[in-house]
Amino acid sequence: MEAVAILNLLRPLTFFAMTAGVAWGIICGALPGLGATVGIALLVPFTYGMDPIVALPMLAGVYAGSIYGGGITAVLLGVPGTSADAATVFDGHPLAKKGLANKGLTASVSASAFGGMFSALVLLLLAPPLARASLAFGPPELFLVAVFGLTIIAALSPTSILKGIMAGLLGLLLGTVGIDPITGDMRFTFGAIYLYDGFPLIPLILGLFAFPRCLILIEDLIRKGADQISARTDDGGGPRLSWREIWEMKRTYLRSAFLGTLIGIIPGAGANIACFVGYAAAKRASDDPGRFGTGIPEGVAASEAANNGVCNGSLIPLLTLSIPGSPTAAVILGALMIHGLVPGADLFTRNATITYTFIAGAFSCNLIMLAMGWYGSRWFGKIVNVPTYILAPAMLLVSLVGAFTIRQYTFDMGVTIGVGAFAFCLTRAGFPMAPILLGAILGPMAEAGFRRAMLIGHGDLTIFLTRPLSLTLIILTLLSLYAGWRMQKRTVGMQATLAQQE
Amino acid sequence: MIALLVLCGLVFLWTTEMTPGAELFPRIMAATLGGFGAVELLRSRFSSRGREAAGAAGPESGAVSHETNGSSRQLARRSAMHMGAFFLLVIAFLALFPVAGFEIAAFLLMLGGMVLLGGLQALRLWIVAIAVPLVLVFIFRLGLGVRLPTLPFLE
Repeated sequence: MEAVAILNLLRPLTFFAMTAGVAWGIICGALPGLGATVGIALLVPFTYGMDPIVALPMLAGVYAGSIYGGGITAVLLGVPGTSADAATVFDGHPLAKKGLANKGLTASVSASAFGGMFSALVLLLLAPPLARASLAFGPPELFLVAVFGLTIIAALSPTSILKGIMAGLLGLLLGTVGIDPITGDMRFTFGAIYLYDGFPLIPLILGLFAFPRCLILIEDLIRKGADQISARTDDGGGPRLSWREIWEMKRTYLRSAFLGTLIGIIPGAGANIACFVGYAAAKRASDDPGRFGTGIPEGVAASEAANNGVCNGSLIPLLTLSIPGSPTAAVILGALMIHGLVPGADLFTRNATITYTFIAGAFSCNLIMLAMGWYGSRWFGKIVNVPTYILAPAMLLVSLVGAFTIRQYTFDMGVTIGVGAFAFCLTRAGFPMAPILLGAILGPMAEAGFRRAMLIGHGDLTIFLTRPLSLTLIILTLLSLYAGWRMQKRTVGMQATLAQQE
Repeated sequence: MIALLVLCGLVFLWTTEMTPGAELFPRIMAATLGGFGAVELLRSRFSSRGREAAGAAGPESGAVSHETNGSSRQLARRSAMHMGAFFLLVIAFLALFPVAGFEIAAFLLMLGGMVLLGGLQALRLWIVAIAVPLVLVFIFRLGLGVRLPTLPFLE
């Protein structure tokens, strides 16, 4: 199967799609304010008509590229393109100030590629046995898995876990729109035939992520006058990292890649934590920790290998149990659903060719990224010079056309606009968007599981407590909420300590 | 938050005529959402009262904060006006799209958006307003076979 997957990647179209995906990802990562989630959300409509064998490796490329792309601006400008690259600034920007930007950029791309490839191998090894375990799930467990997934994403909410849970509930409500699968009732369609099959997923994704991001860009432009950040990429930038220097940092690469993958596998952690953990671990392990923060390639590598390790690590719970470990993974779940792929054992049996091609793509796109970043990262750095007054309307236009693409109804554009305006208000009130999307995706599964469990248990709710697997999931749900609360406190503390030290 | 609470109430209203069973899950979700919403509303009320009380205790920087409040309110008003105008532009695009075709609607959205956000200097880049829709036409209509409404005189 793995050989077929590799052969699929060698098709010119797949290779081209991966290359385009990586390039798009780097651009989205380099532009502060966009990032992986918006990058993938904007690209999903383009992939709708494609063969999943082409589309999914392309999305894997966007994910890897965008996390790496944020490191470019972190090095060149001292502004991380995504929060996952915050720790890269500590050593990356001092390197650029010393006139050694190329060392920082090559350390960033080599470590990112290594972290991504390492985690793709772990994904390949761990996902199939975990997916088989999902076969033991009955209706009560399916409901509780959905609840567990939602609490994990809700616990990631930067403002309040309660708001995260409320966003998840709102998503579950959205998931009930359309024909009831058991009674055949029309629910919340208000006579609109466009809603009979439920809320259209791509307009919803674009409305939740891309549209509010445009409005936030506009708001920033007006309030702060942050029209553009000028990337000075005209000076030489000094020599690139030599192979010997890379070899000398092998332990840092390996340690950070391992930590990043582990953090990715634990649902709810995420790349923005991994970069700090990787950086702090490298500093602790160093013979001379005082050098960190003065501008050394090892500091850049420590952060970048960890954050890219998270990418494929977070796909493990996603592909096996439908539990996305990050908002970006939630959007990837939406993309899988659009291509008719449901996470679980089926992905590794009935759809094995597509899934293994996706995993092989997740590995290979790191090689493409390495080549692109090694020779072209300074060119990508110039992307930040695109003025917001061009970027925002162009992004909005792409979202609207993207919403139209799937069913070719103008109504779907209206959905994107309506959801987008509502999402903007919710974002301003501190509600995260990922739980809404996840709730809308997992809603039908959660409802079907809940109602079937009620039928099996003759309306007795104790059915959720008497089965060992259900009970385990309930305990995990409660633990995830507690861990989310603890993690919020710890991350704030860690960021403050590191920033103070630097 | 109040809008969310109203939505929860409406869910109960809209589910009254549903077959028993179909209404159960939405009602459970709405009731839970409403409960959490009420808790969040109370929490924010109490915390804002606490802040007000803390503000009343330290009036020495009153004049400065008054001035800052004034300018930030002005900025907020300007920002809201721009966002409102931009939103109207998007609605106009939605109305024009099926009538005038994608090319014209998209060109107007791009140009209007750029002028609104970048002022007259954006006019120098009017070519972008033509190029972006053309690139999208190339990708979606020619590449992906999407039937985007076209210019009326080309139909």
